[in-house]
Amino acid sequence: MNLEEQYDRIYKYLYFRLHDQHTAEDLTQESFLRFIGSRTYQDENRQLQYLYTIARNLCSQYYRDKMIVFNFDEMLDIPQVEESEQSLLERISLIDALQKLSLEEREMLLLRYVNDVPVPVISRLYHISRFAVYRRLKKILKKIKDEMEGENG
Amino acid sequence: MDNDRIIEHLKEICQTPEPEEKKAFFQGLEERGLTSRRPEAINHGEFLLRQFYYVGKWTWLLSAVLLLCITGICYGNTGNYPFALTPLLAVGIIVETGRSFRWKMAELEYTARFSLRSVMLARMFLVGIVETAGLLAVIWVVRPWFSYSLSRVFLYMMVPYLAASLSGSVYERKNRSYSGWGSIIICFMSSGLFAAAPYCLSSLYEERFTVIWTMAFILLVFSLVVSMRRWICELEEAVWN
Repeated sequence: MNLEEQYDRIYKYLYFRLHDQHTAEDLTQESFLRFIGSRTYQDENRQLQYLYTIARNLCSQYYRDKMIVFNFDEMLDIPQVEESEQSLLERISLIDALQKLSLEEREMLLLRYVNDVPVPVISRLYHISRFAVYRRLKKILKKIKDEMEGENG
Repeated sequence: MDNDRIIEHLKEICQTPEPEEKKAFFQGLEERGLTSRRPEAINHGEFLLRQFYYVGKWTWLLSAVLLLCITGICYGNTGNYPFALTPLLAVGIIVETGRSFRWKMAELEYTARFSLRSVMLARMFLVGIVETAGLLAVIWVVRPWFSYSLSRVFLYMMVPYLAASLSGSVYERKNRSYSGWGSIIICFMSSGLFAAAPYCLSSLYEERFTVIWTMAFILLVFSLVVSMRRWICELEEAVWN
């Protein structure tokens, strides 16, 4: 497992849960230090899952007394180059659809399609079978699609 | 819009500001020689020892109290009633193995590093081995207070314990209840059945039935192993939420 490559992904995962660049980066580094310093590991195939679990636990610890709000609105401020009006409308529509998903659904989408986390790792993270992950992702995408078509149509 | 387009947009909107301290962080790791370091593995003995602390204190306390009760009752009673108390010992092991399903706590973090199969197997093994060792010690202590041979006392105590463990484990495997009361009631019912059995079959504890007790013991051990194996296989594919 390439740590530098995973650094960006863990940082991205934490950023979308915390909405604060510096806190996300602090917790990313803390996750890596805990991961490296751990002495209770057995299965080599579970390193990525372990790393995400540490990050998720640190995040939960940080927001223990607060509600975690996974807000996609803030992402609209990120400047994009050469964007057509159609594409912009699609993005706004997608953000609206994402807002209607549960935290777990959004997190699963982020892990699978943005961070490219393999399905077996996601299945172990959520303690569900691989088939359940496939089914759930398919259902989430359908939900988004229906929501977007409903808005546009 | 198709799924690929949605995923493409999702990737676009999930862009984050560049991490500022990444380079310094990895430089720091390199200076300390930590870049190639990965979590260290532990051996099976150490793993079992660590699991020992995760078994609930109430499980140990319950087992200890029951073993003391069995010893005390055996001391004061020369009848066959004390044998009917051993099924209650199975409450501890069943409650412990069902705890993961009910509370989803420390085990979740542990299962990130170990397979759920290893964690559950380790705990069942620990509670089972400690309870069996305790029961064997009790059998050794109480044997002089009975007119039966050591092997017969062993059979009379182990068979009800194994029967309750088997029926409780089968129930927990088939009905992953959040309360765990079902399997606890099963243990109490087994205890009641073994207490009432001599009234229905007065010759149950006679020597001529020793062969049947031995066969029951072997059958129960075999069934328990099969049941536990099946349970562990099902754990990996368990859908928790």
